[in-house]
Amino acid sequence: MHLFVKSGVDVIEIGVPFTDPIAEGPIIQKAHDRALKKDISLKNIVDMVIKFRETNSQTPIVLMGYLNTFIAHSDLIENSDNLGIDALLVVDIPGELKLDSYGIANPNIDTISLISPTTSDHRIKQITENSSGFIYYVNLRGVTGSSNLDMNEIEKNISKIRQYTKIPTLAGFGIKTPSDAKILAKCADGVIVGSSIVEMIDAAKETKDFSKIEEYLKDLHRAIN
Amino acid sequence: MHGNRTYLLQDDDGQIIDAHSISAGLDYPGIGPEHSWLKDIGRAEYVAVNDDEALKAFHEVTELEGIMPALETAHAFAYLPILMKELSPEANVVVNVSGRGDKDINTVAEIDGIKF
Repeated sequence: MHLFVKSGVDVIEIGVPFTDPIAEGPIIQKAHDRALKKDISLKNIVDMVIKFRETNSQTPIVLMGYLNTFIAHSDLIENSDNLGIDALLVVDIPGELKLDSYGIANPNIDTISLISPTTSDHRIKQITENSSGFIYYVNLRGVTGSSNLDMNEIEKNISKIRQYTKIPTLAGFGIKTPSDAKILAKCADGVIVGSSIVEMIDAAKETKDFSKIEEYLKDLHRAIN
Repeated sequence: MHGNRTYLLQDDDGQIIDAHSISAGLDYPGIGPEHSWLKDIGRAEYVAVNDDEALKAFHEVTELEGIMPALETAHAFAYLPILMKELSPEANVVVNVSGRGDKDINTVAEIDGIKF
């Protein structure tokens, strides 16, 4: 995580392992499986964030995961003044509902919601009303790690979202290369890269040589600035 | 899970636990959300029946009634004799035969060691 920050990452999104990660493509699914084999739970992730916060109080941290694991540890989220977590992205909560409907509200934690190419105007309005932090625009119809970005559609939909909300709209899904990021950064307030990094972490898990990740993140950073 | 809020087989971390049932329709770690609601408002009671009891009922209903129940339905028939002990002899009981068992003959044949 410190390497990410050093390499130009502005916000860190951490996936919370779940047995049924329905939004994920094969790369991140495998990461969920690896973590679950080591019994990594939301508690461990929170401990990791607390440790990270000992030397970094600035970089925003988003936990991305599935509703059932957050409900199981609702005490952890609800009764904490400062976990060091800035936002939750619960991908399987219906956009019309708020986290407090499930007992996992915390006034210090933002709620990030997904809007996809197939979200209707009516739902975009409702979802933006229930969101804070930023809007996560899903670039494509598919799972994480897919390809085929339709730039015209993305641009059109992000400007539509901006009619309903003043919070930043970040684009995610399908961004693999610095040139993808560069094009996306022209219409979105930021880009979210997941599978490519997770794949590199997997490849480096034995050697612990993360220099390729550092290089990749710096390239991304240069491309969007 | 899977877009609905319902009772699940899960551990303390909210991770889903693998389910097992002889009948494909019950081999799922959750239940239909309508059933969660019916349970919560006290409109329905839920009981458990295991694979062996369901298989026994499948054979009994097939032999005695000429109706081959789906293995899901066989679970309901397996509970019927237990329920009848609690009711008066005049009681009328409706068993919903939710599905037909010819879809399950390969499963049952394999367990019974029958080759087609």
